[in-house]
Amino acid sequence: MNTETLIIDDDEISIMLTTHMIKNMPFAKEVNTFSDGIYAFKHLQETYSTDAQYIIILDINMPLMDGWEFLNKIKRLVSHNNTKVFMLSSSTDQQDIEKAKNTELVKGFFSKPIQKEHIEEIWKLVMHEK
Amino acid sequence: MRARENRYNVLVVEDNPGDYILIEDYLEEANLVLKFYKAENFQSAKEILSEYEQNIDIILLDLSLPDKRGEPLLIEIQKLTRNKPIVILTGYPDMDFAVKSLAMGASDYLLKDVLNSTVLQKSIIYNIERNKILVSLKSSEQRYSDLFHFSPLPMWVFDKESLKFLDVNNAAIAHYGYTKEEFLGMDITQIRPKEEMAILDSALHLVKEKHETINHGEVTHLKKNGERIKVDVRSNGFEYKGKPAKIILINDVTERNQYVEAIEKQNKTLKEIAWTQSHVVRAPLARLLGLVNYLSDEEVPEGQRKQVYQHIQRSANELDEIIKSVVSKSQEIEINKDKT
Repeated sequence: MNTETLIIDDDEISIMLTTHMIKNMPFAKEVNTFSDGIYAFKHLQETYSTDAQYIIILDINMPLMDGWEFLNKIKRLVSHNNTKVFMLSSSTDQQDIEKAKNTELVKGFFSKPIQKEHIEEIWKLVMHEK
Repeated sequence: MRARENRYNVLVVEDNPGDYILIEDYLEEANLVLKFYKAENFQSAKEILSEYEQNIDIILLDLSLPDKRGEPLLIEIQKLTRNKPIVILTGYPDMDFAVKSLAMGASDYLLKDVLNSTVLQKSIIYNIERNKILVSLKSSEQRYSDLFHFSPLPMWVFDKESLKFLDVNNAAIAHYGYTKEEFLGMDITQIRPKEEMAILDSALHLVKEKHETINHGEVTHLKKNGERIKVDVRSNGFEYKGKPAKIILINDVTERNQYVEAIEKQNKTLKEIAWTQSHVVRAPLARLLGLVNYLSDEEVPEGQRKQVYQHIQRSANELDEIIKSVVSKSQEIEINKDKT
């Protein structure tokens, strides 16, 4: 099954760091980066397929469409069977963490900066589902 | 022999030596005296009283002394003693003055012509004992009056029908700025703003058991200078000089309310600061940590490192700016101490 990884973050440095961190992972063959939720949503609307697997690394604070709104938009479009979202935010706010836990599509909440352990966790979850 | 505690210290103010000897004889016969103090004129009575007033139980006063007489003499002697009974002795049966002197506060009025040991004994014991009761009644009245007048919280009494102020205490005078005379010329609607007349009206119609305290909650009052204050009012119905009246206790909560408001504002600011810490401050910090991690990876090519250093510099500056703005925000939460 084809795996696509989406990195959605308005901070280009964060995108650079995340891309660098996952570059050797097996699921990183096809990586697309977006500077706002709205662009990623449009991309998914146009290209989403139930035959593919999606890993989405999602920031919360973005100017046009933030992470929460993005999740709200895609929940009718994608299935949690083939789509796993990992929140990556500079926030350490307990409210954000709770909210993430209560969202079905979200499989993890990571505080920035991204660490090797985060990537390993993503990998484990993706493997487990296979 | 009479027990020591039933004998008294007596001051006899008498200029006539013959009369003095008679009085002394009668008193000794009655065995009533512990110690005699003797004064032959007002001046010497004044000296004795200024020194021994505490010890003396009763004063026998002849009203015609060489240096002072009659009404002025009685007034002067009363000034020298606080609560001791004064029995007037006189040679002249003047009924009008007898009545007047009793009204002025003398305890008894005896004619020398009909004086004997029994009469004197009865008068002394009777007047000392009655005076004790009067003094304790007076001091208890004073105590209750003091409780009202020296209460640290404003209090007043108003007439339930005319709504006129009947009495106000010192704290009310100090707090509201009206003199006592001004208060007594006003009714209670005059310290309330117009828009609260309906509230006042319904408060006045609250019927409760007599002597049960009513808690009226917070209302607005006006001071003489027009300042509005929020006060917590409690009232109790009672009878004042035969009229239905209410006693009011005031607790000014204006400052307390301002303080609560200030604290709430401070809480809000603190929450904003906490939100900023969690979201805004952490962003450049997280970026810095990420970039430093990135640099420690040896695979990063030399050419890219310079760019990363610039990113680090920029993020550090950003963090610095944010911290400065948090500091200035924190300074807003200083509560205005002048108001408290």
